[in-house]
Amino acid sequence: MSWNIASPPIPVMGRERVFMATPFPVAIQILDVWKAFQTGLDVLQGVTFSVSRGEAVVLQGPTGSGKSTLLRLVIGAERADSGTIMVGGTEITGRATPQLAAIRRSMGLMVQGMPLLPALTVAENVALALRAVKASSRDVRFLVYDTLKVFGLEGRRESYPSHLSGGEAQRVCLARALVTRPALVLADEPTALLDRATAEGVIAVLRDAHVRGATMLVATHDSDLASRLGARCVVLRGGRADVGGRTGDRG
Amino acid sequence: MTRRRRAATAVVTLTATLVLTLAGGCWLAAWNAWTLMRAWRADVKLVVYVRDTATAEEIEALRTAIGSEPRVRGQRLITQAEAEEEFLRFMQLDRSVLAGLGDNPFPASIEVSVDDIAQTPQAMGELAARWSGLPGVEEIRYGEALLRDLSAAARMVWVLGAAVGSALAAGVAVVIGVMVPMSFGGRHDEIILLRFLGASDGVILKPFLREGLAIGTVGGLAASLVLGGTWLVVRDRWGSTLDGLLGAWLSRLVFPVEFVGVLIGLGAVMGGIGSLVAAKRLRQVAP
Repeated sequence: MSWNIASPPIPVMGRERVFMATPFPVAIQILDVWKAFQTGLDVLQGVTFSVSRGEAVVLQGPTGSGKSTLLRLVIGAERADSGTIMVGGTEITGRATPQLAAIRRSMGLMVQGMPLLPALTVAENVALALRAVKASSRDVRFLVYDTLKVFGLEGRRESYPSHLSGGEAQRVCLARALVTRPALVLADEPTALLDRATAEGVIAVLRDAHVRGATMLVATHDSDLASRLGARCVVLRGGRADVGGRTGDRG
Repeated sequence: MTRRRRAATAVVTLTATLVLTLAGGCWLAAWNAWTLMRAWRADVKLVVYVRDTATAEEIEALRTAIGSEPRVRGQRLITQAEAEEEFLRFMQLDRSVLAGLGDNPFPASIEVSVDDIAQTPQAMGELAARWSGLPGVEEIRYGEALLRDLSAAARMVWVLGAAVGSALAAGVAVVIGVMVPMSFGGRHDEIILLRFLGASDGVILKPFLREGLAIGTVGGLAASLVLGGTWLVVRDRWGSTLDGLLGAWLSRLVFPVEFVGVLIGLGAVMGGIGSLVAAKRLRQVAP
């Protein structure tokens, strides 16, 4: 399927976001975060860095360096053993899931553990994100249609995930993450498994969201994504963050 | 909706229908039994036997005194001649059998029917005691034993109906509470995803509540149709036979239209409660 990279931007929802309302200048603050798994492996050993509002940061590092774990810690899907994680001025470490709802509504998430639901169509999967923010039925119809158009998926509206290619499924996940026009985007390997042309399209959409003011934290092996986003690079290696890492520095 | 979820929803709806039909059947039986008891009890009358020596003025004064009682619904004077006629007609005898008895041996009487409140052994006993001292009264009878038995039976039907009905109502909630998660099986991932997306409890619970209400409402409606249909078939097909066998009691039974509303309402409420219980359990799952 051809995908027009220069497609129109994702429409604005016109909804004041909790995240946007906070005056805190730093979007994400990670202070001395430690995380070990049951195997005894300390995957994160005192990671510290911050992401300013409107900034794009790319997390790089070898497989198993803790990139995905760090993203899951930032959204509160896992708990750090110690340290502090603040999102939009709110400390999220130790908060129960219901208390994280308002913060998560300000985020566009494309992380591990968020597959497409096989029982729902493409349109219904994307609409889930809008259901979560209580968008009206009219908004849902309009935004889903427009977003799928941006991602070149308008012809796949009624398809089920089992009938999508890997690249199409990846784009639907990203469409679901961006349909609410979030203030903060967290994406885990958004261009993995994609062919070059499709990856270009995904990068274009992410860059567009970033240009429109969204803060980005993206875990990726794709050095091209980092440079195209104009992102600062944080490299995770040996459980620690090398904040001064260059784009494309891989393990 | 996937085929598996559709099948699970169908099973839950059928189960809800079955339990509501059982509960509704019990309530309908209890309601009709109670109605029947009441009807039979209403047939029980106080019979005030008048002395043979009572004058027409005394009888008239007696009728006035009886009629002044607020609990009295109606009264009928049966003269000696009418009593005799009634006896012969009831026994299917010829007048000649009474030829040797001399004067008419049957006493005149006043049949008194009372309202619902006075249809108890105590209330009727009080009325009988009050009237027995009036001039011209020979004796007062009111089928005390029958009335006591019917009152006890009506009370028992109420207690049984309430107990069985309550147990089955609880059963409806339990069954829907246990069964509804079956239809939500595929929703586990959806809840996790909605949690990731920041959905509030209200957003997560709403579709569950809607589905539970729908299942309960459809179950209640289906149960009403089953019971109403059964009622119509029994009445139309075997009504006259049963009436002939059991003394026209079937024609006194009813299927109240309000009952449909009660079953649908109960189904909806229980479906809502069951689905919320189920959803609360699933809500614990959080990323």
